[in-house]
Amino acid sequence: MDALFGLVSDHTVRTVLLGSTIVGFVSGALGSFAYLRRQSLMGDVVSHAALLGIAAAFIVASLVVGSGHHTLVLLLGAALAGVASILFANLVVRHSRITMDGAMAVALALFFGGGLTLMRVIQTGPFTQRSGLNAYIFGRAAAITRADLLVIALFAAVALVFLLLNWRVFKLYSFDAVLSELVGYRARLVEPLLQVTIVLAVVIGLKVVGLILMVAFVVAPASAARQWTRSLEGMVVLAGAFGALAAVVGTLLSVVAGDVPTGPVIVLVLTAIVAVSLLFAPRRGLVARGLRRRAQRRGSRASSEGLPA
Amino acid sequence: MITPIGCEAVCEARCLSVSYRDALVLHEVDFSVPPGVIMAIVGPNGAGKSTLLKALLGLLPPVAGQVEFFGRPFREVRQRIGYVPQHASVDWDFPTTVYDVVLMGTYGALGWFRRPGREQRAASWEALERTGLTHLADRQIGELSGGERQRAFLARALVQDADLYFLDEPLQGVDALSKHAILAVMRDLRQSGKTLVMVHHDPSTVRQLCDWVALLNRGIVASGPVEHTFSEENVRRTYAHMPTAEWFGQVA
Repeated sequence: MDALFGLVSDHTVRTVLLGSTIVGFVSGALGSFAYLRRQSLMGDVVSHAALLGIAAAFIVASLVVGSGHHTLVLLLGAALAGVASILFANLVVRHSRITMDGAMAVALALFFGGGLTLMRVIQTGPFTQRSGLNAYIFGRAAAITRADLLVIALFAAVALVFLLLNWRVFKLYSFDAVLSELVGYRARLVEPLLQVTIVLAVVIGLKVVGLILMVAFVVAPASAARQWTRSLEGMVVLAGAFGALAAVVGTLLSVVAGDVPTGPVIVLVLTAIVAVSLLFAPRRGLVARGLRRRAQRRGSRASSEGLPA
Repeated sequence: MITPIGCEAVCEARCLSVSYRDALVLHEVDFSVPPGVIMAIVGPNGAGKSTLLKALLGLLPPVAGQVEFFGRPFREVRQRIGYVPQHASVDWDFPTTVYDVVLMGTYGALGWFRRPGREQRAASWEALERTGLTHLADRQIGELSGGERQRAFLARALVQDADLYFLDEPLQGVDALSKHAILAVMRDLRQSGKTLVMVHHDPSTVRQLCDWVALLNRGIVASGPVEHTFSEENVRRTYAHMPTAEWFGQVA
């Protein structure tokens, strides 16, 4: 216990812990909307597309102000590229016979490919401070700085404010887009607003878990939370809590274990939370359903034998 | 250029043409609904009944033509128009309760930011009561039967307190109890001066349920009061190549 206190009071660990917890809560909460709209993989498209934005922002910043590594600039680039990838996927769906899953794959390949190409350009070009960029691909929570933390908190706050202000609009739109349109919450407006909110929640997680595993932060807390509740309010709060919990536990575990990367450990913890939820959630869990079925069988046997059930 | 639309019609469409995926589904439809009736839109499968409803409500952009409600464009009077969709259109596993779904009917009047208050909650309970769903208010929406789901969506439209209701096959696949409840609410609404337009799949019950009818097959074949318009001749023209006699045997 003392060792744990020692850890938490350590300045670096505290920064990392705070950063990953914010990311876990916000991406978990907003992932619920992606999950309910069956667009969880959009999180994967956005996180991969973000690389193009990060690399492009780095190059532009290097050329304009001389150094490229400003977290705010990089994440703004990431968010722009994320939004662009979604717009692109929607455009493909609207103007072709390709369905959403295909369009998302195309968008991911295109933007990620572009990102890798630019990363190559950065590797071979005359850029300084480029070594930090790889952190966005595989995640390097230990490298989170105070400056990173500030940007993460800023983006997270904006995403949460968007969510709270537009709560009923997002809710109705996710449940019944037709009624939403009829009452005057135009899809033209709601869709981009919701997407931007989700994109903000995705790009802040890149440095914590990396763009490859980021999708887990979008999908896992939501799918776990869905098992325990029947209200959207409950689901979003619980998903946020699961995300935050996994971030705290995962970060501490990886620090205690020493040379273990934080992102994968967080994802493993998330997976455990999902497994427990799928098994033991009341009503929806496998165990509860199995017990119910057994009770039903007993009941029908008892009544067929003429005994009171 | 555009002649003013008579103020007596609660809904009037002129020369409405709608295409769906490159194919023209409705061709130059003129459609008008008088106030205070229950009107059926009847026609064979693929006649464009649901498409007409969606085009009227602006859910499908028309290729040509114009629609007015109470003499105004839809966006100015959307609060006065309720819609009960065909029931397959939402995710029934969505984490929301029956009460919550009904409360959503108040969102439109509240606008983007205002929260539902005591008045909206009371209206939701009243709508649940009218549709006989009070005891199911706390259920997750997916736990309801088909008929109960349909009633929940009707309750959601009731909460809106509209003057004109569009219902897309409200009686399709619905148990007897729900059918009874839905019809009672519809008649009740007509009684209080509201207008109802429903897509209806069963021509044999039109005379019994409705007082106005539009016969549709890619265009309006005939439209008017049931006793005149719903003639064997008109129905035969609507359902060309289909046996129609038995629908009249029952009411003769």
